[in-house]
Amino acid sequence: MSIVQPYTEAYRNYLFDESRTMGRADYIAFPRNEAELIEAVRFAHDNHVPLTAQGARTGLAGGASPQGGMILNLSRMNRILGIRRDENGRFLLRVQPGVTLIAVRKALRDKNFDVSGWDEESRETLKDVRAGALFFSPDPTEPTASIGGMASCNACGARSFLYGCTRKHVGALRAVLADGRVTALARGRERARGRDFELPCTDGTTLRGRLPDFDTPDIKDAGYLLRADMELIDLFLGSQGTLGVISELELLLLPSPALLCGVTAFFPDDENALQYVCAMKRFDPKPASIEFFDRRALSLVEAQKAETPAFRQLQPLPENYCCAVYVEFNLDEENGLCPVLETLAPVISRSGGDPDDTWVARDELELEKLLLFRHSVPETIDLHVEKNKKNEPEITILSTDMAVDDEHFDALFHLYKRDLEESGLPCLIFGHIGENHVHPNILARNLDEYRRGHALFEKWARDVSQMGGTITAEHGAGKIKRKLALIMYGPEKMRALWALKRQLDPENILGPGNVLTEVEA
Amino acid sequence: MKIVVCVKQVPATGEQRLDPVTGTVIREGVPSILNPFDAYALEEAVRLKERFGGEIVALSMGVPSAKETLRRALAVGADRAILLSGRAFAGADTLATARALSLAVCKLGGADLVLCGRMATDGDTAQVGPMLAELLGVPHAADVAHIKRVENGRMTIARMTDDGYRCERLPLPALLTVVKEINVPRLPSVTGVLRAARAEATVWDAADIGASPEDVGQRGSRTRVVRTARPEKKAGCRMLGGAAALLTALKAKGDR
Amino acid sequence: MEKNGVWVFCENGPQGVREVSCELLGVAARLAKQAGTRVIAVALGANAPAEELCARGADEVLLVEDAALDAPEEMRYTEEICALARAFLPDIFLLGGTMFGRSLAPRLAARLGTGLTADCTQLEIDRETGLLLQTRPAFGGNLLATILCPEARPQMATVRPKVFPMPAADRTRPVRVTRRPGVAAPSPVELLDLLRGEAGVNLADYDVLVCVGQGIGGAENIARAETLAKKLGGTLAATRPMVDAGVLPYARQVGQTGKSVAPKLYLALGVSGAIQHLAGVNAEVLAAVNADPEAPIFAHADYGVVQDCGAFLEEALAALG
Repeated sequence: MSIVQPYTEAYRNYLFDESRTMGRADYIAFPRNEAELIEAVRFAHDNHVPLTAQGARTGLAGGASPQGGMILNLSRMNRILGIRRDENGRFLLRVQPGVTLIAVRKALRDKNFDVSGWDEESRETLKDVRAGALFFSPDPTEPTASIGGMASCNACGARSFLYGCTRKHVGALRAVLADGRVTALARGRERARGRDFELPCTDGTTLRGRLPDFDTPDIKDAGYLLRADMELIDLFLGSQGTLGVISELELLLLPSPALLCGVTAFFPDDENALQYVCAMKRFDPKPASIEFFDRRALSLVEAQKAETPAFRQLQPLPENYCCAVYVEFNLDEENGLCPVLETLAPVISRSGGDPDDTWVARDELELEKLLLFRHSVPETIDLHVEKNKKNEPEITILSTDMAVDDEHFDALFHLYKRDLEESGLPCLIFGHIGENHVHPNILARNLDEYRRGHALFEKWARDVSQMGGTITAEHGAGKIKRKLALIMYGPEKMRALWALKRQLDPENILGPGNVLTEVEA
Repeated sequence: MKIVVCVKQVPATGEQRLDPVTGTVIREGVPSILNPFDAYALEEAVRLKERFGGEIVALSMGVPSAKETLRRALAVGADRAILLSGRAFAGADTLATARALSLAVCKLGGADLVLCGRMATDGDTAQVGPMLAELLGVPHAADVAHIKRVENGRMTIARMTDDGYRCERLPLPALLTVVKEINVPRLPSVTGVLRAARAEATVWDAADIGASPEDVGQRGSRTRVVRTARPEKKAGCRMLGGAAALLTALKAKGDR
Repeated sequence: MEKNGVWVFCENGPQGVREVSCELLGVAARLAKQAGTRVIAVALGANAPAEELCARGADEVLLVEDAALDAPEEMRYTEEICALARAFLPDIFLLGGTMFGRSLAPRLAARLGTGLTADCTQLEIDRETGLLLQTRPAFGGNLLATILCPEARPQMATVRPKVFPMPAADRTRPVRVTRRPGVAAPSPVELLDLLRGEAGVNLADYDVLVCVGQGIGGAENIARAETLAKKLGGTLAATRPMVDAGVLPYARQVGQTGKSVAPKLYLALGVSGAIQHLAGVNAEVLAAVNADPEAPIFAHADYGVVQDCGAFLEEALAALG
């Protein structure tokens, strides 16, 4: 029996992801290993069937939503395959792409691995691992995300301020190319020569090509990475399933910090908060994450407490404040908190806050409370979108994840504020301010507001491109931000990206509708 | 209002593991935390102090390292902390624990209100609070979900019962054990954590509270643990293919 | 009246004496037989159902008949019961581990200066010493600890509802009642109004419980689980994380820190099977549905289905029509 099955209504749930972008499909496949994955890709290749790879379908940009053809669902490729140490003594965990982040975290925390099928080296290496001593640092808000999905959009989450995004923590990968060949790439091994690249395939052949002649932004970015002499592994990280399907990854593990702690401070206005954020970016020890919540985000959650019992576990807000900044520290010293707070207290005061009106989480248990608060913001937004959707089915979540460099962030922030103020749209701003990356959200109540919101996003895409930024720092362009991606790259670079794709995927069967737009010459 | 809050250091929940060979509880490497239910008692004390003024004393009995747990109480607003610690207190059952706590409260000159968490997550008995009330000779209300009024030396509360809630009015001094519906415990502030870091819990031994060795610890206990055993496991779980198969199997079992 | 008996506190509930008190009369009858003594039901208030208590196993009802004692209240109950205990010196004293029982028993034990063991799951008489062996889950149910009260009397224990079976009523048993006058002064505690509501749902009233855990997957599935529970003639229960997250009220929480239940069927949906949870479950049949085949719950279940809860509920509701 073939691994590829005809699509039936029973698989309806596989047509969409968290963005609720509804797709369509003719076939579906659930490979359990690389051989089955190759079989499915070959089927697509031989029959000119487009395919959309998907992991846990937690994406926010529609990247996993199929546009006809085959759903290549990798959720059954969910095994942890082994562990080894490299020459620098670092631990690397070998996983299939469908394993979820939470499964990796749990396995490392409890040192609980299914070692059947592991080789001798892995079994031996595991003996040197203590439960909880190692961790995989990328932390997108949704822990049920699949590792393959995180790699394909170079996900990051809050703690990437300290640790960097997923890209930095993938040491090696194997990817199935559009014709069914497999390329195996490792960091520090295969590089482009200038803009020319040569992908070695496991059957001894190579795939030669040339990279586009431009560099992508040098900031946190969920899209393609392009550089002269780049490491070829980076070609597949962030490519959102358009250049190949990742079939295996080696994750770089870090020693777990001895103490996770955090502080939420409140400020009388946004300018104070920006000043504080600026100080925190240079703070020693470097924070793991810096998160911002504006006045509307705070009051929206406060108002939601009446309707959502889960939010009643949230501590009441101090009075007379406009916005909040959450800073998390991952420390190597178990007793490291007090010295940090001694230094932090005057910084808070100087920025217009009050060390008395702060929330300190001294350990992971208390940190959960601050994180519950952090997560309550997007959850409240979802509730509002659901409510507004009842009046107007076309309404979806209107959120952006644009980012610029340090130099341009204040300008971008003020631009967001001014444009939102002028538009009069219901909105709020929160997010990863440490990496110059906040999420302005528009809570459209009707079609007019929804369209005006979209228009605003397109304006910002133009503004951000001019500042040399990205339209998507962490979610990926997927399908819903394709238009913004075109604005960012412009027609010429978009054509160059198409040319790159055609070299790897001449039949255009991989990830149709993701990121790229075909532009007439 | 002078409030004594009784707190306990417990192993972090969900972290209790058994040695597969000996069947005993592994305590090494298991982090200790403030009993989660006590955080609600502490928060309620801080709120009462914010309204009526007064003093909050956090009181605990335990190993010397419980001073760190008491520091947590100091960080959120306890004015001082007392730890009953010493060999004489070791091996106490709930009655001996309550007796030690009652002597400490007496040494403190009594209290207008004693607050306890509903129970501790390690022992799960919910006995120390009411026992302490009895030994102090004050009325108590258990499982209090709401303090409605405090006036003229009386306190009106709502407590959880098996059938809903019951409102009661108690004269002060009194003891309340509180459930987590009563409030949302605050996290400490930067100032609070730093203040607590400089403070130190006072340690009292049995002599300090005027306890004779027969009153407290193992000798003051009326119960003895004579053996521990591992619970029996089920013979085996029958795995079924889906909902229909399960419903059929349940029906077949029910018919028999 | 004979001394050194096995006493059972009969707690007044909204519908007469609570069932747990009758369950304990059955336990007491077994213990009294082993110890060669008698079962005394201790009742306070005006409407003690002496016939019922004797039919369930009491040899005698010790009654303080006073309508002022109808509503349970710790201060006054402590006075009355301690007066009785000092007069008749019970050897063993069992109380239901209800919310009131768990509040009254420690107060009594402290006044009587005796030991108390909470939430016993096994009670036996030691053949050699004649002492009461009180066994309870300790350390989150990881271990069963057996506890003795060697010197002080009475040997006191509380037992959660539904841990022991309800004894069959034997209406042929003689009904003996000893009345004692009340001795206590009015309590300093004033009882005001009673409030009901969702918090009043009593899981113990249902033969079928459908329990939802963190693996249930969203509010939609909780609603479907509730429908399934109704179709099976039961109601919805929840694990502690679900209650902590505010998804369901505390009254529906099962486990070490919630309710102890003993339904005919316990269907656990998306419940991992933490020991703290299972410590409160004593079901005739435990069925578990979990997408994770490694979930610990399967080690304790009679039937298991490895399936996503959403898919399971869809299938189950379709099958039941």
